[in-house]
Order: sequence, then C-alpha cells, then structure tokens
Amino acid sequence: MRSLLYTTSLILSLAMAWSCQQEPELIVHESSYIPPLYTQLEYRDTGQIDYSAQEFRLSLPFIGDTYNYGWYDGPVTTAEGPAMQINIVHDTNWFVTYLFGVRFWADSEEESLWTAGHLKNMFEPGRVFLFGQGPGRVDLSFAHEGRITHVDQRSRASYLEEPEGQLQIVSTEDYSYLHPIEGHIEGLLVHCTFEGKLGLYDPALTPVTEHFKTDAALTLKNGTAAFLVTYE
Amino acid sequence: MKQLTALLLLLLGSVPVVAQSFSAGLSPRLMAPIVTDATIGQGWGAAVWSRVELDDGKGLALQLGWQEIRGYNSAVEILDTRVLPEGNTWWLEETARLKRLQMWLIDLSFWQQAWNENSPLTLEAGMRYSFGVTGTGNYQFRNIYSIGGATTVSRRGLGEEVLRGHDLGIRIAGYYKLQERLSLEAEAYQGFLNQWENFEGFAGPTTYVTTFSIGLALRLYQTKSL
Repeated sequence: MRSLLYTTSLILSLAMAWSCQQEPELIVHESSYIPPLYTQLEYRDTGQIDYSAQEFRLSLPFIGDTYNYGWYDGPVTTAEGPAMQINIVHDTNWFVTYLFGVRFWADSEEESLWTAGHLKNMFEPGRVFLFGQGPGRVDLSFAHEGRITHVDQRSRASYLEEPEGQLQIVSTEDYSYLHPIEGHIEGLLVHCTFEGKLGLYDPALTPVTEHFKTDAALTLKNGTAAFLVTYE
Repeated sequence: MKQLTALLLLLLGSVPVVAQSFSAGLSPRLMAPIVTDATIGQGWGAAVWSRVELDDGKGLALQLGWQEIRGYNSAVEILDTRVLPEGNTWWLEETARLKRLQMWLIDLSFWQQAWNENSPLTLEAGMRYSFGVTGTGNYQFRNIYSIGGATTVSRRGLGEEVLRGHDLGIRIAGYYKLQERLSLEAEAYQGFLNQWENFEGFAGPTTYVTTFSIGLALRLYQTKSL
C-alpha cells in the first residue's frame, strides 16, 4: 500500500513538473539608428574672457533630459539670389526655437539648382565659403546663451559691416534614409569646419531695422559640423 | 475524395506498366510533434495514399495529406528606433508568437515488406515536401511616429511576413497489417527548414518540424497486374 502511495506521489509530482514548464524565451532584437548630424563650436561673447562650448547633436526625444534638436534644410529666395538654408531648431508642439543656421548662396551661373550634381559641385571638398551674403558666400547664424527664446534671436555673420570668417568643406558623401511617410530620402552629407565672427543680435534694434548692422561681435572658433542637404 | 484519388492515379500515370499491383486508400492519424524546448505537442492529420509494387514486396508510395500541429510557443520581438534628420522619430515594434502550424504535404517514398513478401510489416523511407504552411498565433506590427504623434497598429494572424510557408524533410514509416484492408501505421518526420523566416541582422527563433504519428491505413482500392 505504501509503495503504491509513493508511486502515485511520484507520478503526480512528475506530471506537475511537466505541466509547469516555463514559457520559452522570447527572442528580442533591439536596434536603433541616429544619423551623424551634429554641430559643435566654441564661442566668446563681448566682454567674455574664456570661450564657451556648444554642441548640437540629433538625439532621441523624450529620453531623460536630452534636448531634442531637429535639422531642417530647404531652398530660400533672397534679395541676393537663390540660397540653401539649413537650420537647427528645438521643436515642441508649441514653439520652434532657432538655434543655429547656415545659408549658402548658389553660384550665380548655376541653372539646375539643388540637384545631386549641383550640390556635389557646390560642396566640393576643400572649397572655402567666406562669411557674408551673395553668390559663393555663407551666412552663419547662432543663438548663444541668453538669446535662446521662441523668437529667432540668432546673431549673424551678415550683421557685421565687414563679415569676417570662413567655412571650409572637408568631405561629402551620399546619404539616404527611409522616412516613414515620405519614403526614401536621398541627399548629400557635408562635413565642414568654420571659424569667424558674428554680428551680435540686438533685441532693441534687430527686429525693427531692416538692414541691421553692428560692430559688436560674437567670436567663433573650432567649429565643426555635419549637415544634410536633400537632393531636389 | 474521388477527385483526390483520381489525382493520385493521374500522378502515378508515369509509373511504368511493369508495376505488379496498385493500391490506394486513406489514413487518419494522431500526431505527437516535438515543439519548443523538446516538449511534446499535439496534432492530427489525414492523407490519401497510393502504392505501386514494382517488384515482389517492394515499390513506390505517393501520399497527399494535410496536418495541424499544436503546442508551439515560439516568439520574437523586434524593436527598431530610427531618428530622422528632421529630428522626428520612428519606432517600429513587431511581435509574433507561433502556436500552431498547418500544412499540406506530399510524400514520395520507397517501401519494402520486411523479411519477405508475405510479411505483415512494411517499411517506408522517403522525402516530404510541405506547402501552404500557415501559422496560428499572434502577430502585431506597430508603427509610432513622433510626427504629430501618429500611431498605426495592425494585428493579424501569422502570415508570410514572418513564416516560411514551405518545408522539406525526410520521413520513415512502418505499416503492420491488422486485417486484409487495414494496417496500423507509425511515422517519424524531420523537417530541414526553420519555419520562421530569416531575420536580418540577428538570430531569431527556430522551429523545425519534428513529428511522430500513429494512425490507421485503410485500403479502399486495389488492382493486380497493371
């Protein structure tokens, strides 16, 4: 009788162990991709002795305290001719805050604007764009500490009477990504360095003066960036 | 059933007229598949079959059947995060859990009676091609865009997105003659192909079809000296 009890218990235990098997391991695969867009520089305000460092890097939003920066590029029409504007902004549901920008004017003789051929020719590695406005020049803009508001308060190279500084193309590469709505996007990833001076934004005068000019300068050095210009 | 028998007869039309006999029938069977983590699942199947005898006590067998295997619990989750140059973010989440597999199968085998042509035991060995393999389980594909907070979710059964859809493997079987038109059959099958589709860039789950089954083989039709 006892052996029958033991045997029954053993069979029941084995049956329970068999039925209590763990769920098979879930195979989880995580991947993420952040494009190599960034801008970093050192700047010195008037009266400032040491340089301050600033970095903008495309990052994941809503994670910790990371600030989400977006890169936007597109052609603009100006009094000096057609240009390509690249802006770094902080975009919330309520406000767009402009932080940094570069505006390149196309060479005056160019006809097929912003095509792959035009952009590769325009951003040929080694080419130097002098700060300023007009064909072959670049206007650089930057909102430093104290000018970061939802109103565009960027200081600009073109605010100086005599723009001073340059941006040099280091290298370029074809770049593409899959946009969930717009599909496959192709463009040119441009790596560059820059240094020079920006005319300081003046909250009292800049918004009301059409051709604002100043002598007060924000000095930039050790600037490097990688930005994307999409092909037309 | 008549149509399937006719189809088998048609398929066997290419068999040389040297065949000594021809028989056809059907087999209901219960299955004991080896599913995830070496556990035993459940299943059932049915097939129509035909045999031609090419020499004394040996020949070819053709079988067309359908089966369902239950008890799998294999799953995968793919999480992909992409930050776009505009600063927008796109999250992709794909989860799939396989519970059952259903498939059509076609077997071509060589058979031989054990010991001599009067033996009640017949052994078979051959290849199986499974097609129309479908899965039952959960599949969810979720897209979340930070652009305006848009989210799209699709839930549906397992389909060609994650499952392979066909299989190829080997089988061995034995038939023991119980009565003149009735045999007891036992079969083992091993599939060669992972039933999950290949996942790019990482090792996903694997599910190979391995089954043992027992059933009855009913002979419905027989003719001698074709």
